[in-house]
Amino acid sequence: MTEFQRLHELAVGQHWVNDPQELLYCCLANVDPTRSHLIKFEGIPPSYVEAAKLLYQVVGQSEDEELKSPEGYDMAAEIICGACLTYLQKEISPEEFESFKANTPIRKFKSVMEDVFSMLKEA
Amino acid sequence: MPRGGPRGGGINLRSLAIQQIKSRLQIDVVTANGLKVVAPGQNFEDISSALAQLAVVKKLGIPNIRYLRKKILVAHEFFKKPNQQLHLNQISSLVDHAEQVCLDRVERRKEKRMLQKIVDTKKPVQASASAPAALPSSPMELWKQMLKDQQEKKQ
Repeated sequence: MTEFQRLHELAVGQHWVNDPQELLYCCLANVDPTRSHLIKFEGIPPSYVEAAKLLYQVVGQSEDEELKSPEGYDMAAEIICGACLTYLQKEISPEEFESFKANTPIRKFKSVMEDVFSMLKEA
Repeated sequence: MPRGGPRGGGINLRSLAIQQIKSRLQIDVVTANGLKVVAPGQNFEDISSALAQLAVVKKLGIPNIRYLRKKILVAHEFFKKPNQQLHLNQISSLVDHAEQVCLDRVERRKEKRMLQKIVDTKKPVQASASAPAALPSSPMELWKQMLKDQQEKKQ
């Protein structure tokens, strides 16, 4: 299993983790998706800030097919990046958070919800 | 055939050999002039050689060891000559050794199971966020490399 497969599996795969922060913890702590149900989650320690920044960057900028759904949606990347931002917002100062967001551009995700809304609009 | 019917695991050369040795260890007892004696045709050499052969089979289990002890006890009763008793005592010490080896094996297996249990339960405990002293490491180095690869691909 590649790293992207692991992240995809944790976010939207067979062994998906429902809570975004717990999911982020599993991603950061290198948890095997098949063992994710064994985690006793009690919050993410502040020591994972740098790892979360890096994960946001890797997932947010990747165009890898292993992170996408079979239809080409970026649901896994969306969830992981969202969880990273939520965690970082809590752990770092607002200035640092804004500067991190501004300096770390990510690509535009293909969102299933956006497609649904545009279909509704057209209808 | 073992008590309780055939056991799982199939028949291999080793179990066949053990079965054959055991068939040579049937000690038939008859009563002659009010005395219990070994049936004619059964002699000490055959029985003692079968006993010794079984005692030196490697990885003997507890049931076979118990079987051997019983047979040695019976043989002690019927073969009373000093050299026969001496021979039986020697075989008995072989059985003692086989029993010790077997117990060591059981002990090792038990320890291995215990260690495996520790290894299996260690992972989720380590991954728990409740113990900041033993934080699991992030695959950061891998991510850094992946990021580098992505940037190289874009250029």
